[in-house]
Amino acid sequence: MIATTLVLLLTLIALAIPVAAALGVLGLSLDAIYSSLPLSRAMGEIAWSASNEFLLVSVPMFILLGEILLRSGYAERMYGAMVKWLSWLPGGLMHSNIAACGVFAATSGSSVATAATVGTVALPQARRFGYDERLFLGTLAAGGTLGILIPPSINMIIYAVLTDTSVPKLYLAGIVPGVVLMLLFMATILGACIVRPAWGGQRIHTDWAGRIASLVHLLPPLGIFGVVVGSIYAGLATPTEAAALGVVAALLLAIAAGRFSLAMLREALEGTMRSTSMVMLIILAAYFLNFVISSLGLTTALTDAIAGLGLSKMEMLLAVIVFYVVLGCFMETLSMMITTIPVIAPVMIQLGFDPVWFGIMIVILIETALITPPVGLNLFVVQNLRRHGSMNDVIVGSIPFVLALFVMMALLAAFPQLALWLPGVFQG
Amino acid sequence: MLDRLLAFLDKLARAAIIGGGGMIFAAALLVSFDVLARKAFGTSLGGADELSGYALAISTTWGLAAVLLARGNVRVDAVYQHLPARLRGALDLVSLTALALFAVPLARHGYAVLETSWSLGALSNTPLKTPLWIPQALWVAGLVLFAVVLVVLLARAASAFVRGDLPTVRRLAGARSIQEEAADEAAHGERVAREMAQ
Repeated sequence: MIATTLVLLLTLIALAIPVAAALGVLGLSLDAIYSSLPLSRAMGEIAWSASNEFLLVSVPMFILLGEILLRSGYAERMYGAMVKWLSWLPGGLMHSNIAACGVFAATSGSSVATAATVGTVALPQARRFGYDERLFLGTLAAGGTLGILIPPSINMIIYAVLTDTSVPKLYLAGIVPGVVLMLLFMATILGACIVRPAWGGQRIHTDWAGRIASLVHLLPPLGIFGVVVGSIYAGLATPTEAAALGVVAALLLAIAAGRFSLAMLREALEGTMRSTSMVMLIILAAYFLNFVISSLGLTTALTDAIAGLGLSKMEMLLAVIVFYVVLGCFMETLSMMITTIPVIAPVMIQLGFDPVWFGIMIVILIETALITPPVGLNLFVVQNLRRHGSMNDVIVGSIPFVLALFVMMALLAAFPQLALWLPGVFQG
Repeated sequence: MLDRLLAFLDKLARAAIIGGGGMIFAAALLVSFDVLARKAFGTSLGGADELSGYALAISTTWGLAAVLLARGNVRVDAVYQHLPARLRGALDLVSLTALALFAVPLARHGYAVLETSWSLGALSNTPLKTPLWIPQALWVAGLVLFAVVLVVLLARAASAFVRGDLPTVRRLAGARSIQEEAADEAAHGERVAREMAQ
């Protein structure tokens, strides 16, 4: 039964059947073939209760927050500040790219939005200052992935919903690895530019007065971060309420900057709902499929089968990493998470991995998926912003950062405290 | 004939998705107000979480038809993109059929949920005591619109396929390549940057 299920699922997905339909049809077929009770009757009830789940309300709110923030015009000035502070390092603007992505990530829950926003602002500078274009492109594609590791994060919310893990804990757990990964990315640039100084572009001259003055441009992102993430730990708001407050804060920012209009709001809302409906349909289908496979006892059978392999904890972790890296080359990341997490996370947690820690590991694997060809959405976003040259430049430029992500996974496996220390401090 | 119907459904789907967006926006304002009121006055309106949950459920189904018409459903095209056009067209039809096989039962079972709530006069188990048939009826309306659009789209794409009109099949139901996907994201970013520069 396990083999049939897997073969059916892989066949449907390989045939380019929409992921939601593949999951739904698989659930219905398994029900028809194996079940004595008509499980599909529960479909309506499952769909209704999943789709008014309060935690999931934060998903459209975060997307809307990003859509409004993008239009509020703060990213450009914030990038300017990063240039003033970091461009003296060997590798110059490329460090500013990573840092600006990190700061934007603290207000955005999406990696694609982070790469698109910072990329739009940064790319015109690459040729102007004579950078090695490939490495420069790589910093944008890779830096963008920080969007989902540094809170807030849409992917963490989805993980939390699928595994019943606490969102506040996941957010806290993402902060230290997020900063470490930023530093790893910057160290990668530093290393490359010390070996090949020509890649580092021309020096941009700044002074201390300019640096200090530029700090004011960090206030908007800091404010949004305070509202969206701070309010949770101040005990003011639940994650969903915090997301709603973030929408209002971003709206005020846009109004203050004179960027608000009804047309802009309508466009932002339409974009938001397009992403939300698409993701929610996959979630509804996945909930139904999970109901069917657990009613049929498939989940237990699968867990037992994996346990029967007799792999050690670390071997199992390695297998999961390889699985996601390979799958991530071909599959869109949110659908990949929704399809696999309900089966894989329980197995890993049963083996003794901390669910919060595993969530962070998954997010880092998703980041890797975003910059590994052939289907790495961030690679394409950056290539499209650039509008010339070959896609290969972006892929080659991202390779050093894929290696940095692997180092990050090893660090996280060796020192689980990187993720678990901060949530532990807050728990007291 | 089908084209005119499709054009009408397209307008309806656009209105529905924007209406759904409006609900999410209203939910964001309501939830924020609720949090601030709770902090400032120590009391809250109550029910903001429940109502925003309904907003999510309804706006989700109201957006489905527009996503479908914009070919926005995620498909893994690693194999698909290397196939000959005719086979791709066939897979597009299979995809629509698979979606319909899922969406039509979903609408039917969704309707059953509504029917049960209506006949039992079910109220939500919260201080608001919302009669559940109200949000559920709006929710089912979106599912029905989705199923109807799917069936019409399938009929239109199938007739194009039979006549050998592969470009139309692609326009109606082809998988958006990741290049198209990313081009949209990038164009989006650039448009915003231009707006900012003004």
